[in-house]
Amino acid sequence: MAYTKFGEIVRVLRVKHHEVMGDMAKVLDTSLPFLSAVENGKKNVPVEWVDKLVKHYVLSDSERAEMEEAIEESKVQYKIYSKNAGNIQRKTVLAFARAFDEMDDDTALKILELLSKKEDSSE
Amino acid sequence: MDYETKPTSRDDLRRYSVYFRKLFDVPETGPFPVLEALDKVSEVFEGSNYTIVEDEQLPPQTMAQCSPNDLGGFTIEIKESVYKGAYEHNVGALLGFICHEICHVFLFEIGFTPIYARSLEKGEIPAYRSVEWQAKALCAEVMIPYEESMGMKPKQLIETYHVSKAFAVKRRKLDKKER
Repeated sequence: MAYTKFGEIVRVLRVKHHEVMGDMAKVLDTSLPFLSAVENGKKNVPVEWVDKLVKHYVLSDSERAEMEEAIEESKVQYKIYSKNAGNIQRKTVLAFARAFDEMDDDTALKILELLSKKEDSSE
Repeated sequence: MDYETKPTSRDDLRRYSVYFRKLFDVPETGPFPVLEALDKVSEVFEGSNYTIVEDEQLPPQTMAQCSPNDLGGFTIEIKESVYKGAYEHNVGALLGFICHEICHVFLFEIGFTPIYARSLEKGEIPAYRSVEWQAKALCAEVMIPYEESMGMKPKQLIETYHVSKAFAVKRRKLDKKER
């Protein structure tokens, strides 16, 4: 278990401002176990946290952008809208999702490279 | 439950406590800011971190625990009620539980790892070879700086360093013994 990129950003913010996790849980109006689970990548970052953190730590636009990027990278759950998809398409999406979960970083990177090459060549 | 490790003495642990404070950028005197140090654990000990868990996630008698993680470091798990008591009310005993776990990470990192994989019952291992005694003694030395606290009465120790009564009384006893 390691801190996510978002977890690392907020940890550094706390240290810099001489605050502790209890202070941040108050700012975010959340429980300590939930905040901790978010920092450790077990839960997604609630969207409303960005504004609260930006306001509390008076973050610049670029710091906000960095945080939003970190939140995207730290996501542990994604929603897939399959309203218009048939049963076969839904099954395919789920099969891909399961396979992705068990994939190592190198393999995932190689597949992403292949996909991006394919996209480039079809443009 | 306890594990046997290589021996050390209180005098050595007292010396280590100075380095421990240095690692966390804390002056040699004054109270030790346990919760601020907790947030620096991942900086000081590569691969280590901490997490606050719901009380039900740890056994009833366990306030906090430290175990190896898959990053090659250690993860400190702390019960929500323990962290809350330490944060909201500065309860010495609860701050002590948390500091104790950070001390485990420090001692493991400097080579005081269990010699045998099997755990033993409390009291089966001589204190100076016990993983639990070493962490407890180091924790007391970290939270109560030796030189500065010399001659202080338990009440004063509790108020100055936010430690438990048990730590303060033990410190006072050591003071008398070592004089």
